[in-house]
Amino acid sequence: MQRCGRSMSGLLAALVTTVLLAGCDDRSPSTLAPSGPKSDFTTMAWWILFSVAAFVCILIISATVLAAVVRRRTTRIKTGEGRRFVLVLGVILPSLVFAGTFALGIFGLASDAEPPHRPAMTIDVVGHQWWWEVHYQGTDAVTANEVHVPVGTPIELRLVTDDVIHSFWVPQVMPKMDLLPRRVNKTWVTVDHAGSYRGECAEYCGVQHAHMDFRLVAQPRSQFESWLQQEEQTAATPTTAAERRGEQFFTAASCATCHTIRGTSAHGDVGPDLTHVGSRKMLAAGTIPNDTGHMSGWIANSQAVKPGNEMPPQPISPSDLHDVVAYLQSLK
Amino acid sequence: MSDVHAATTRARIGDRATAQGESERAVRRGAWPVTETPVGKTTGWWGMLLFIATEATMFAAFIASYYYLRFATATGWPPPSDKLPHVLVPSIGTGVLVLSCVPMWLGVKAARRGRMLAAPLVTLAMLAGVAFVVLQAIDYLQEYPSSTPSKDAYGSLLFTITGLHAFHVAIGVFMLLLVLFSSLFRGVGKAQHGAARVCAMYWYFLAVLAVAIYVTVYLSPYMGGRS
Amino acid sequence: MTTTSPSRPGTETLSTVADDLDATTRYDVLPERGAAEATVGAALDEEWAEEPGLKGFITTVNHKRIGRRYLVTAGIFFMFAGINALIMRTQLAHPNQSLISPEEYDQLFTLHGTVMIFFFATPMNSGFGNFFLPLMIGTRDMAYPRLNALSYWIFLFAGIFMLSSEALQWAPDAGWFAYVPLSNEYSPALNLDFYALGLLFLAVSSTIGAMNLVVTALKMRAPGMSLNRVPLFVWGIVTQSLMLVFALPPLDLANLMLFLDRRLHMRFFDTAKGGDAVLWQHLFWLFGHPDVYIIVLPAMGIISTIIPTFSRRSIIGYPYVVLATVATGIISFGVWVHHMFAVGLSNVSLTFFSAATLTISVPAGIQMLAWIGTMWRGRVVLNPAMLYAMSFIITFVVGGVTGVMFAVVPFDQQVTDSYFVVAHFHYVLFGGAVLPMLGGLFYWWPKMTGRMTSHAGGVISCVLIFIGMNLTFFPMHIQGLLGMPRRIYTYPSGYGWGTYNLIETIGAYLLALGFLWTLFVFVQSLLSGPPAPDDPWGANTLEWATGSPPKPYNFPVIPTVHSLNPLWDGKTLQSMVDHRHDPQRTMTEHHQALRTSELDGRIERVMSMPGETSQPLLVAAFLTMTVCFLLAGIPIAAAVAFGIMGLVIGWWMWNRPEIDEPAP
Ligand code: HEA
Ligand code: HEA
Ligand code: HEC
Ligand code: CUA
Ligand SMILES: [Cu+2]
Repeated sequence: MQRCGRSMSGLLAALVTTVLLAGCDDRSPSTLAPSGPKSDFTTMAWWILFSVAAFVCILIISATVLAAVVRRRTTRIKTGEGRRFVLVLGVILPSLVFAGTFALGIFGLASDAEPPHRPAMTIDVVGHQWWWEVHYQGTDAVTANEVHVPVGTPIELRLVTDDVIHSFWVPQVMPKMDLLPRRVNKTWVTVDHAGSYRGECAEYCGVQHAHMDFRLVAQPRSQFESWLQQEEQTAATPTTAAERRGEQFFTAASCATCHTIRGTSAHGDVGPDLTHVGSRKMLAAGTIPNDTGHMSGWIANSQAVKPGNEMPPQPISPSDLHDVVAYLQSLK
Repeated sequence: MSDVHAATTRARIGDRATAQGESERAVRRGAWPVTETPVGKTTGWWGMLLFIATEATMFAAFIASYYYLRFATATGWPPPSDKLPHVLVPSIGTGVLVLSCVPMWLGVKAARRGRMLAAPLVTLAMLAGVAFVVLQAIDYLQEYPSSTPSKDAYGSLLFTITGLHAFHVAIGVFMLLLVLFSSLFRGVGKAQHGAARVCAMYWYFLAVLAVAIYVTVYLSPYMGGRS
Repeated sequence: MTTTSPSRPGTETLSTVADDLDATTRYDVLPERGAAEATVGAALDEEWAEEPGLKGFITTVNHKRIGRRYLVTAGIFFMFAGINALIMRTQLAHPNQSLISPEEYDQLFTLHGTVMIFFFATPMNSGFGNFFLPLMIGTRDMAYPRLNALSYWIFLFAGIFMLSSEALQWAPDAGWFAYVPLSNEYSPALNLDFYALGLLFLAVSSTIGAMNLVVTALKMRAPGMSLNRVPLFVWGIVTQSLMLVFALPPLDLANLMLFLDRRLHMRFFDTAKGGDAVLWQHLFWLFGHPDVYIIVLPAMGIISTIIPTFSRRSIIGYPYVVLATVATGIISFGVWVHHMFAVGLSNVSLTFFSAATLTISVPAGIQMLAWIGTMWRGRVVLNPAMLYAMSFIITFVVGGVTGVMFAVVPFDQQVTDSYFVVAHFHYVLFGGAVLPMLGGLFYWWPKMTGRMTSHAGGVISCVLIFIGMNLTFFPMHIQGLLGMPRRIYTYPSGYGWGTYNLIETIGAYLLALGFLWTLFVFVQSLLSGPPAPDDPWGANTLEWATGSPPKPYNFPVIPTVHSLNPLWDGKTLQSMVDHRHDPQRTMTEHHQALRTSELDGRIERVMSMPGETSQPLLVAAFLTMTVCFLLAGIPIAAAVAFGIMGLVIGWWMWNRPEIDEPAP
């Protein structure tokens, strides 16, 4: 038993060190490396809760292990009822923790409820199996799997789903909020530091729940404005011959029944808006990087890349594939 | 019916010495349960109480779901495409089921004393249960074209809540049939009384439930539903 | 309830400790039981003799055989779900693996969760309850022996039904809480029909099993066992069973609605037609949260049984522990929304349910301190059962405190649906239920089988499983904080998740090794373990006053219970000798048991008990047919099978034992 006790405290020590280290790893979407008031709060809450929890655990575990050690060879069994011990420790200790934890929770709820000042803008996020559709209210900008926001100012989010329940989560910036059918969930987010943050779908939503990520990109105001302006534009006109052939192919083939490219005749609404697909960093909700090779692979047989996703394999000739990828890549 | 009578008469003669005699003594003492020796609730009584508890919870959850969906519906209740429910037939049905508790109660009282009157009284209550189920079916025919189980949530609730309840009434009828059938062969008396009493508990529960469902499904849509 | 101390006026002399430091050998047969057995044993043996062979197997209504079957069947389901978990862990060992397809992974974790919760943890408790509740309260069988057999058969068939879905590749795949609309119109194949029907089917078994346990504990306690002398395990089982009676209906309703939505296109959950997706969540968690205490309360009862025995003294603060048990049961019905903190409900309800969730830590703390206090005031004897009990305390507190963290709503919104939650619930489920059950198995094994287990083997089992358990589930906390969501069949590299996943997979294999070893220890004991005496541990509760294994009639003479520690008080055992000529206590003439009053355990009457019968199996078989026909979409056949089942029930009711009861 002693061995067990030691391995336990060893594990606790391991937790503290690894968690501290992980907090410094900027590659991981760690809740402990926050970059916004909401995650600042949960990180602080975690360290408070962790300290109290560690205290309670160490108390209980050492009391148990020590009892086994100390009371093993005794000849003296105490007959009293020991009710005071149970009552004092068993009620008072949890009650204190109760009060503190509750206060912490209320404080958090209150500070999360309303943004510090009026949100600069509203973004609509629509969940799909298994990708995200993003609209910027008051503009024509529509994009997918990338949410750009200006840094340092509250943004309102309106979340809703087109099919099953999803959950919008950016560990370093904001806790989760579910996307429900026919119920718009409003929340807000502020990002403190410019950068790109990993976002994830956190509610199980079917076979490709594992590949339903997005990027939350926080940019300085001016950069954000110009990005948004660019997104509002209709698609760039193809410049090379291959790109022109690609556009023709796209609007004539099945692609157009599912995808929209603003400024062309493609108006499908099943898949992501591809008007500026060339400017995205990742494809298929964070599944693959956006480059010519990966995009060709995706279009030819997306089922091999993200099995079960809603885009059927496209049996098209290598030259058509080359053209359409060239075209899509040109849509910056 | 007449067979039951004959059987219970036979039973009565057989049982008289014990059940009847004891019953009179107990009544004089002011205590009721003569057929339980000496005192205390039976395991059957507790079992039925728990069964009723679990069923009541289920219907409570169902009725709560009804109001939950009603207040989540923005378009008024019932939704504009459905007509308000018919009330007359369900009122009769509910009334019949509630009133049937009287013969049920009297029947159990009679059985407790080993009286042959028990059988016809319980039969009467049982027939009321059958009538309830039939009336429920008639109501479905009235509601049907305007509301259907698969048209909208309102229709699903209406048909399923009442249908589940009617199904339980049918189970109640089946229980009473068993008791009656058993007394046909074994007589009204100690052995039957315990079972009759437990079935009666269930019957009263079904009646109370009928009222709750009647108010929810048939009356509440009239209360501020259509804005 | 208020005067619970065994040292109330007139009874001060009753001992609450077992100060037998030098007791190295124990009687093979307790002298008191020996005397009682000598007087009435032969007559009872004849009256309670059971049909041998296959016929006996099918028709038995003996609570010990049924309890044993529950334990074995639930154990097999545990292995099944555990092997599912091993496959999952193998897939997750490294980033970007594709050993199994996403569809397979989804079926694996759904079935893993569903089977562990519904077909292992709850029935395992019923198994212990079935076997030991009648023994602990000093009676001869359950209140409804035939219903008991029925609830076992239904459990078995429902389990086979559910597991068969995996063989058919139609296993449920929407997670163990099957949120709509994913489980509804987005899963058109039979997968979720297996889920809805399978759980409805099982609920029949759980409900009647629970009612049976409650009534048994209320009406069949040995004379003198007033409420303040009821063993804590019995309190745990009774609270659990009462909770089942009230918690299952919302789940049944939800599954009924789901099935109707799926098959008859009803609209309960169809948001386009006035239905609501969140309704499912409310109904599910209205069951789901109480269910986690349904799993843990009997397990805590096992702990409250083991700790006093191996601390050689009565539990401290008995009334508080009882109150805490019952309070936990009640409070647990008011906290379900803490599983829905990220749904977007109003702040008012979030605040309310956060506070309600926190209150649970008070009764939990009371129980924890009662166990620890008992150890500190007693003399601790270390053996496998006690080591498991201590492992329980150590792991449960870790799982408990993370549960308390979730009450801080924004923090919960941060970690919900991440591996942090997976860590929490495995600590409380594995630590809070599996470890006590293993402890219970080691503790009661001699009673159940008549054989002792190897001490060293048990210690190794505990060490392996304890280390394996922590290795598997502890890193999940960190992984969750690092932002890894749950229910993903694969994950990218580069986020620092890989190492933890690998450690967990290694831990899971260590666990499998631990379980194989434990299995080996038990089999070895069956084959060549030394025979067990009546009371190998010098324990305090009544089950140890029977033979090892107990005779079909359990107690030759029903004792009078004098205290909370009947085997230590020096009077209860003696009462078996004193009453051995009292027909009311021996009941040698018929298949009978004693009925007593609910509160004080005063004798009310002698009851006739039913004997062996095949009706339960028939009823269960026709119910199975009904369910299968519903699954296949043949309602007429389902109705016919259901009707025949009704007729069999009619036949069953015809032979009520009280009808043939001798006149009093
Ligand atoms: C046996 C099962 C079991 C048990 C006992 C518990 C116990 C508790 N659980 Fe847990 N829980 C689950 C099984 C269980 N849980 C499961 C399966 C899920 C996830 C379902 C899913 O999503 O799939 C879950 C999820 C879950 C959530 C939702 C998380 C989320 O999805 O976002 C929450 C939120 O509040 C919660 C809270 C609690 C609390 C407060 C307790 C308390 O009862 C704990 C009380 C115990 C202690 C606190 C320790 C002992 C006390 C002391 C030593 C006294 C001193 C202590 C203090 C001062 C703190 N649990
Ligand atoms: C009582 C409940 C219980 C228990 C005991 C366990 C035990 C285990 N659980 Fe599980 N688990 C749940 C309840 C439980 N779990 C629930 C409710 C979920 C949520 C599901 C959902 O999201 O819907 C879950 C989810 C869950 C996940 C998350 C899946 C995901 O979100 O993607 C994981 C991942 O590692 C996991 C792992 C394990 C492991 C490794 C064990 C191990 O402890 C298992 C150890 C057992 C064995 C290894 C079997 C022993 C076998 C033998 C003795 C025989 C050996 C024979 C041969 C090898 C032939 N469980
Ligand atoms: C039946 C509908 C359908 C058709 C036809 C279709 N797609 Fe798609 N497409 C989708 C869906 C749905 C997705 C999102 C998949 C996911 O990420 O889960 C998608 C994703 C994509 C993406 C990645 C977008 C991003 O931002 O991640 C590209 C590029 C794409 N499709 C190109 C094409 C091309 C080129 C064609 C025609 C040759 C085509 N699609 C035909 C439905 C379709
Ligand atoms: Cu969308 Cu998970
Ligand atoms: Cu809970």
